[in-house]
Amino acid sequence: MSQPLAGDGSAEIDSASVVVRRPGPTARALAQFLLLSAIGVVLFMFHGISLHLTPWSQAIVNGIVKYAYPPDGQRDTTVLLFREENLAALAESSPVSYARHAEVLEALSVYQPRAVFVDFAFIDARSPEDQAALGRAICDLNARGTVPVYLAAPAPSSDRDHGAPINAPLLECAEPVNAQMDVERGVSGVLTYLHGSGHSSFRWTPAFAMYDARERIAARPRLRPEDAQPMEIIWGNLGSTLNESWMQCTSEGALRHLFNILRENPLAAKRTCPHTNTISVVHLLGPFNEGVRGAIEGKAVFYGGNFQMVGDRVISPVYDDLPGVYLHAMAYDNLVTFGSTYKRADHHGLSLSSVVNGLLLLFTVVLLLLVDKPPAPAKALLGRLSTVSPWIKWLALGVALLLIGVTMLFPTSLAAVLLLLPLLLGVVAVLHLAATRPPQPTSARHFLRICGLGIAILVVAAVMFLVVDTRYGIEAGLLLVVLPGYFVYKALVARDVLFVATSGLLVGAAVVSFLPPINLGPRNIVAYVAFFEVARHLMRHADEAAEKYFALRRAHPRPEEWGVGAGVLAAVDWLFTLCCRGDHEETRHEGTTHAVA
Amino acid sequence: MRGRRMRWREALGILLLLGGAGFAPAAAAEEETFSVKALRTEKVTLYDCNKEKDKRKAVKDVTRKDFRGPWAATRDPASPLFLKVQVEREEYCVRAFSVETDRTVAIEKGVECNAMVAGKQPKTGATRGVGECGR
Repeated sequence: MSQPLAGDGSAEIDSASVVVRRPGPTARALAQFLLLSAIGVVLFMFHGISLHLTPWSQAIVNGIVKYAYPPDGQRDTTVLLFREENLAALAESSPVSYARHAEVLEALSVYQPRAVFVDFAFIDARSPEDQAALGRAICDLNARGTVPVYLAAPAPSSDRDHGAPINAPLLECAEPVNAQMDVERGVSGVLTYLHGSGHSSFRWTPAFAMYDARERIAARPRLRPEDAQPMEIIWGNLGSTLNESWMQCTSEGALRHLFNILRENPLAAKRTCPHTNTISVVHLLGPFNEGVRGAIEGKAVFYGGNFQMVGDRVISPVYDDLPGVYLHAMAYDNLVTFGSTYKRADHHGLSLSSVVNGLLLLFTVVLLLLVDKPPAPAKALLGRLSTVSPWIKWLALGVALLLIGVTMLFPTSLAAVLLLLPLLLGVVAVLHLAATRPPQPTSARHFLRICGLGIAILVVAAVMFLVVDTRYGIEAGLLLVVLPGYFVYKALVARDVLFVATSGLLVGAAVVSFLPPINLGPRNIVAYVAFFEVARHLMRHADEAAEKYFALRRAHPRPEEWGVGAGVLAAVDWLFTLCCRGDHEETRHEGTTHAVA
Repeated sequence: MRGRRMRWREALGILLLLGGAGFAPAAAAEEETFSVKALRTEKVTLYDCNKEKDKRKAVKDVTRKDFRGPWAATRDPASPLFLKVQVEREEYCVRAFSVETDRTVAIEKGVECNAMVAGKQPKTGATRGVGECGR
């Protein structure tokens, strides 16, 4: 039976007296593209996939941050902690008396900090003598304006611009700052940090105020409120010699740790020693101490409390439960480290982050459509790349590396866009690999060798993971052993070079995009690879199902044999045609359908 | 027989003496004496050395220009945050951070007893009582 062709190239078949208009290759590719994109958008925009993948992505981020995060901010920041245990040592109770706070500030002034933030809100009524004593201590610390002092002020309420007032005598030599915390988003534990607020007059949050003071003292350009947005905090996890000298920094054993990871998630066991250098008030109020001097002299000091049953605790991806003052200290640390290009939290609207997110999804979908069974035009086009002169390929690689270098040297939003070009080149390279990949030979001996290799990789990876996890932590274990081990397995055992190339490209792009100024969320690092792998398997299954269906259709051509009407069967034909991939299958299924017709 | 018993007693006495001498340096270490060389704050308050450290009363203030040192100082057994000093043959207590001594101090684990700063805390459904206002 001859097949009339429609104007767009799609075939029309006569199936049991019903004319079936099946989608052609272009329409089919478009439908698959739209469907995959829709699934990707649903998975990435809503929390379906991220809920499960965020801990793994975050563990990878923690591993990278551990080795890539510069120590500049850590060197410049100190937390002075009033611990629960210090109350008994000082014959105090909670809330701490103004007289004791005055004594602490007086001791601080002895060590000459550069700026001080006090994370206690002095809003309750106290005796005039106590207020005067604390006010004097603040003024002594302020040293006639040379040491900025900031006091935590309550969050502005809807009817007042700046919330409940701080006792006025205390503000003679200090400035109030907005201690409002940002709302928690999702369950990732990645905390965001407000930059400030205020309708009639803007008021910075503590970290931004302290950073502003730092830049002002150093006579550097200051951050303007209109250029600032809420921050997504990158939690540094560098070791601190000071903290290790007096805190308990032990971690659980490797096997216990592995058990917890498998039972819960890689973030089940977190760090107990904070990244920020810390001293307690007992250290401060004790005899003059070289360690305390090193921690305070010329540093930004965040003075806060760690008391039981008073709230003010934060849970981060790195630390289980921290006194709230560490949130301010870590945000300040990020500002010192990244400057005005700190990682923005705003994922709403058309930000650079959402554009890159969309482009990465687009690349992933295009890769999915073109790997394994690329359509004939794409195969022909990409096959031509093999005829391109090698020096042009090297030139392209050189340009890509140059652009990466430019982006790292000038980390602005505009320059970061240049990273998209190396990304595009990477995609083209993967597609080139897809088009020119040689077929893999198989034999019994080869099969056994591959099995042995697979077991060896598994055993070596397990042993190395235990060793690395014990010595350097789960982040390093995931980053240095599990991820490379999986890639080695896919490359040597599964011989899936395409997966290695694609996932390497996606992980690399997502990691680069995570850092400022692109500020992609951490969940995407693993999510794109997982999406690529899962969707690829589903597409294979769909293709196989379509093949089986058309084989059955060939065996049972009449609608009565299927127990449905001709129209329903035509619709099913149409749907299964959408599942077909590649031109070989296209021809075969088309032949099948013709036979059916 | 009697002579032998006497010799045992003498030996025991000598051992006790030697033991006492051996422990003497440790006791001396607790009573380690050092000097206050200067004041770190513009004005240092001298307190009485009441054993109940929260009931100590300010006796007088000494300014930097009035400082006639060095002052002999020892640790205050009642509180690690105070030092006992001898000023004009009178004993006072001063806040430890406010004076400069000839002794180098470092941050040690013992001061805070292996403190845990970060970590899981049991969740509670109650609020801490805020106590007396101003006390």
